[in-house]
Parts: sequence; structure tokens; C-alpha cells
Amino acid sequence: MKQFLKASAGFGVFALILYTCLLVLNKRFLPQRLMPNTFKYDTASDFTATRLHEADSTENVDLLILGSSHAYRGYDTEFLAKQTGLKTFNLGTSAQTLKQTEILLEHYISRLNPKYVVLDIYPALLDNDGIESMCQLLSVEVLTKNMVYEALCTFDIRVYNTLLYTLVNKLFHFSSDFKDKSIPGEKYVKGGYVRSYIAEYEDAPFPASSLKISEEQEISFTRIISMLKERNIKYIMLQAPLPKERYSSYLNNDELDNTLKGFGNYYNFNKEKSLPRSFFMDQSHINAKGVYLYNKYVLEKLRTIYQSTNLSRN
Amino acid sequence: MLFNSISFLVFFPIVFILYWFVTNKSLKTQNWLLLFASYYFYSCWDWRFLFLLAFSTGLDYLTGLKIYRSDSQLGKKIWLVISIGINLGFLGFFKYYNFFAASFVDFIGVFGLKASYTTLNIILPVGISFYTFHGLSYVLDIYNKKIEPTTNWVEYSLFVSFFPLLVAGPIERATHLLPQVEKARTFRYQQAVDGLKQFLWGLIKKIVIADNCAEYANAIFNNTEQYSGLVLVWGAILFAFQIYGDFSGYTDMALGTARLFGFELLKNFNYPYFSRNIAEFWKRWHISLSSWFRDYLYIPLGGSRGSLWMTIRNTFIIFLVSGFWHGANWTFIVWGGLNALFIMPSVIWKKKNRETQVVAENSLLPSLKETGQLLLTFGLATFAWIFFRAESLGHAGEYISRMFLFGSDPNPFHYPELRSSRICAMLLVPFLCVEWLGRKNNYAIETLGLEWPRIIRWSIYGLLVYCIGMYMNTGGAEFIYFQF
Repeated sequence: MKQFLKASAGFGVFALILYTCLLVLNKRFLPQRLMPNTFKYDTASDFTATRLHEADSTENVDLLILGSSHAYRGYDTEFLAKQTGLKTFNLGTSAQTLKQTEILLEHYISRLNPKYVVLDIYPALLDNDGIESMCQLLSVEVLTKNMVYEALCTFDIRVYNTLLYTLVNKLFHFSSDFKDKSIPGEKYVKGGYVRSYIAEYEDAPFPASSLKISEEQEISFTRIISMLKERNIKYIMLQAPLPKERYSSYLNNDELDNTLKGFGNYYNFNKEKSLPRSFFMDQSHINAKGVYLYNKYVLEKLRTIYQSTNLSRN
Repeated sequence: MLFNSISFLVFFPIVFILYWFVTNKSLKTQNWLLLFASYYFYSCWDWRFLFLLAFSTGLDYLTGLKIYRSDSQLGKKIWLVISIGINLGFLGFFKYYNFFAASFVDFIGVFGLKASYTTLNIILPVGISFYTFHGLSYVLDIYNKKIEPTTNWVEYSLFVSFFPLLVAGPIERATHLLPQVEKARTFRYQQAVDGLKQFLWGLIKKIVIADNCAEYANAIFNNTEQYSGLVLVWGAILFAFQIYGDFSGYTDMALGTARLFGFELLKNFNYPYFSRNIAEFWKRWHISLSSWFRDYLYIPLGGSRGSLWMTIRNTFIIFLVSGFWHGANWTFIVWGGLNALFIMPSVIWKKKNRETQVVAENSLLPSLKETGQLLLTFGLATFAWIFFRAESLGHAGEYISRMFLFGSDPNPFHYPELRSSRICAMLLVPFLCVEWLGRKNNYAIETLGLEWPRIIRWSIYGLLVYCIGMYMNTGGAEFIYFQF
């Protein structure tokens, strides 16, 4: 028995070393399609690395925007700062669920010290497992204690592979292959916004579905709100524009709106207005043209928490 | 609790340590521990059905004793009938009530009569078909004077509910497992290492092969109307490997786990896709069920001892019953019938059984003739699997008819939703190579690298662990045979 336990432990250590070596080597030399359980960062031009790098060197903002790609593509930090006079930062990341919002907020809240927060709600992510976002944040080396703990709690091999790979990179000071990729028609704007001039909306069917908030996300939601309230930070929740066909494919928008209103001031753009297709860069996100219109709506809603004449109308 | 779950990763070491370090001084305590662990394992699925398991166990334990102690043949028979009746009654109620009610209404509808019935929302207790057959074999063996009943309730309960085999077999025999339960087990290094290796190979079969194939087989079977021709052929092939990886992978994990506790369970699979005809296939697929039906149904019906017609009749009976055992759906019955049909050439021409003979035993590759036989057998088995997988006979019919349509793009990899199924093709090639090279062993990697230095051997196992990390499907499909 002793021999068995010793051999098992020995093999465990050996397998971990071999696994790590193969992961690092293959990740660098093999094409992504041959490694389905690893995360490939540069598939999207979401500028997360640049944004978080900027966040690390930014202090004391007035307005902080949180959320998914709908946040970093939908809230123009330059425009909002100009209109309100508020120092604005957009901390949106791809597929960011409330779980990752909580982790990022915990990490950055002291440094960024915001007075106001806009929490963008993309309803389809409320029931999402957050794996994509978790992998992305790990890959750009957001290795806080809480992040590592949450990553381990996912019990997902893609997250574990990304965590292991990032840890090795960091430990041995390997240059990271996670680099932001810029594509024509898109530009990173100081403060975290990604401006897009693309207008490639293509017709596609949107199967009808019901929206719901998972239990896990609801817990994170409650914690985020508590965190903001504890620090006396005023906040609103907004739902950015979606193509009409996509929005109407959700069968219980009203029900979800009512639930979200239970967490604070919540405004759903799609319930009040809809934008034509040329205002969308794809089937989900608005482009610069759409952002211009939508951000005027955002300014209006910001008045509910920011009672100042500085909020000029364009 | 699944073998490939985090909860099992916690459950197993606890039981293992308690078994070999705390209770190792007393066989009785070890058996109690395993029994408790087995009931806990089962309760993780649904604790309410523990009572059914305990009742079924108690029934067979008592009727076994009654049969043995009855003086008259009539008394023995009565107790046997009670045991079979109640066991099959439970099985019938939980598994077949809705099927029989619906079939009856459909049947009288043919004669213009109308009837209504109440569909019961019955939850099928996991493993009921398996533990019912365990118990039945015990009672039948006592009735047939093959064994004497045990008077130790704990040992008998452990024989029925030993957690590695409780929910999906292999279907054990009292003659094989009970003596192991009754005898003190000692830890043997080689057996434990073998257990770990077999578990590892089973895990690969399940979460790398079966689950990846399942993703695309489901996509194709669930949207049959969207595809035709080769895409549907690809779907059927994927399902053939899904079910093989799923069930034989589960069995490997069960056998491996049992070995770590010092038990040897019955072999359930013997490389069925390397069979040269359907008769051989059935000697290599779900062996514990096939042999159960052979011993308790086929032979009592007369087996192949009578006329040719009687042999044909008996063959059809066991295949139809076997199909029905899998589930309450006509698709399973047709699947059984098709297999009976495919086996007929071997029955009629009384081909010699070659189940012990490995294909191309003394060569690396099969001959041209053997290759043809292997492909034909695989083709027939896969064709029959279409019925097994289909939701209904209509669905199976549509699937097969569309297989012969070549209207749309025949390349499955041209469809965006199936493009990634290339990964299955990429995984199946090395998987089949390893299985082929290890086809003489109990499991494919049993002797892989045994004579090589430890570092190389460990590198091979480490590489397998890496394959799991890189290619396991993250969708997490359930075991197919849990539904039976």
C-alpha cells in the first residue's frame, strides 16, 4: 500500500509537470483548432489587455461603466466625459457576467474610487456560466486572490488550462502571447471604449428564448449592489440597444425588467426605442453611429443620479 | 454521482482510505463500509429510491432462503414465482407502464375502439434493470441448485448494491461476486495499478470519445430533416462510437474502481467493433447481459438443442427481449429484431463461435477478407444503432430514407454547426489504433509499455491525462445506460 501511495503521488507530480510543459509548448506552436480546451485570446479585438493596463494606471474616476462587450462598445468615454465633465472609465470586458463584474469591481474599486457607476445589463448573459469571460480575464493576467479562487470554483478545464498557462507565463516571465488585436474600422479610445465604424449587420434567425438570472449571478448581483451602497456610490443599470429582432426573440422582457428594477434604477433602452440596422456593427452591438444616439439617452438617465447642470444636452 | 464528477473525486479517496486504513482489520466492517458507501452513492441520485433498492434486496435474500429451505418442489416454485413476479412487477411498473398503456390504446384503436388512459409521470429509478437482474440471477441459481443461499444479509446486500456496478452493471452473478464479498481482500499493488489504468482508459472513452461524438451525433439526430446522405451516415457512425465509448468507458471505470477495492468484476466488453460477424459482435458487446439472457432465457427455452426453427425462434426471443430490456419503446424492439435478423446467417449455417479468437491474432493488420468482414459487421451494427438512437420508428424511418438522398452538400464538415466534428475524426483514429493494438488485453492499455522503463511508461499515461485535459468535452453528457 505504501508503495502504491508513493507511486501514485509521484505520478501525480510527474503528470502535472508533463501536462504543464505540453500545454505551454503546444499553446505556442500548435494551431488553436487542435487544442479546443484552451482559450485563444486574440480572436476578438476587444482591447481587454489595453483597457486593464490603463485601469492599473488610472486613479479616482467620477463615472465607471461596467458590463460586457455591450459596455465597452456602447459607452463612449470621450463623449460622456466631454458632456458631463466627469472623468469616465469603461471597465467592460467580453462576455463579462455579474460574477466577473464583482471580481473586477472588488479589485479596482479602491483605485478607481468612482462616484457613479453605470452597470450595463446584457440580458442573455444573466444565465451565462461566465467561462469565456473568466478565461479572458485570466489570460490578461488578472490574477487576484479572488480571481484565482473563483477560477478554481468553476470546475471547468478551459479555465484551469488558462490559469495554469498564465501562471507559468508569469512565474517564468515568458512573454505573453495574449496581445490585443486591432481590426480595420475599430479604434481603442482612452478610457476603455472601443469605437467601431463597422456596419455589417446580417440577417439571421433569432430563436425564441426566455431570459432568466441564474442563482449564482443573482448572488453576485446582490453583492455588487451592497458593495456600491457600502461605499455610497450612486448607480444606475441600463440595457443598451439590441437589434429589434433579437430583442423581440426574448419572450419575457417585461418579467426580467421587473426583476431588475428590484435591484435599483433600471432603464431599458429597447423598451422605449429601437435603432435601425445601420446603427449596428453586428447582430448584437451598436457602432459609433448608434453609440452617439444611445449615449444621449444615457446622459438623460444619468441625471437621475447626477443632479448637476454640468450635464449639458448636445 | 458520476465516475467523471468532482463529487466522485472526493467520495472515492475517502472510501478508499477508510477501506484500506481504518476498516482493514475486519472483513465485516469493510463490507459494512462498502454497503454504506454504496447506498450513499445511490442516494446522490435520488434518496427516495433507496427504499426500493433495499426492498428488492430484502425480497431476493428472503426468497432465496425460502427456496433453499422448502422441502417440496412446489414450495420452491411458489417462492421463485413470488420473487420473479414482484421483481418484474416493479420493473414493469417503473419502466413499462406508460408503454403498455399507450400500446394497448393504439392497438384497440385499430379495431375502431376508443379508450383513454392515464399517463403516469414515473421517474425511472437509476439502475433498476441492473439490480433487478442481479437479484433474479441469485434466486434462479438457488432454484437451479447452482449455489446455496448466503445467510449474511450484509454480504448479500453488498453483492447487489456494490457501488461500481450498481447503476449500469456489469450484471454480476452470485457465483462470481459473492465469494469475493465473503472472502477477506488483501491489497495487491499490481491489481490497484491495473485498476487505475483501466479507470483512466475508461475516462478517456467516456469524456473524450463518447462525449465529443455525442455533441455532433445529437446535432444530426435531433435535426434529421436538415441533412441527408453522408451527413446522416456520419451521424450514425458518431453515435456508434458514442455508445461504445459511453458504455464500455463506464464499465472500464467500474471495473477499475472495483479493482482498487480488491474485487474483480465480470468483463463486459471485448472490442466489439473488431468482430467479423454479428454473432461475434454479440459475444463481445455487453457480455454480462448477453450471457444472462443466454443462461436464464435462451437455454431454458431449449437453446440450439432442438430443430433449426426452434433455434431461430429462441434467437429472436432473446434479441427481442433484450431490446425491450433497454427501454419501453418500439425502437428498441426493432433494434433487437434487426440484430436477430443479422445473426441469422451464423445460426442457419451454424458457424463456429470464434469469440475467443482475436481477429488477425498473429499479424499487425487484418487481411483483406477480415477487413471486409470487420467493415460489414460495423456497418450492420451501426445501421441497427439508428433505431436504438431514434426517438420513434417514424424518426428512424426518416433518418434511413434521407441517408439515401444526395441532394444537398454531402460533406458534413461544410456545415458550420458540424465543422468542429472534425475533432471527432481526429480523435477516433488514434483511439482505434490503441484499441486495435491492445485488442488481446482486458482493456486496451493493459500491457502498454509494461516492459519499458518507468519514465517512458509514466510519460504515456501522462500523455493520456493531457489528452483528457485538452480534448474532454465540456458539455458533460450523462451516461446513456443510466436510463436503462
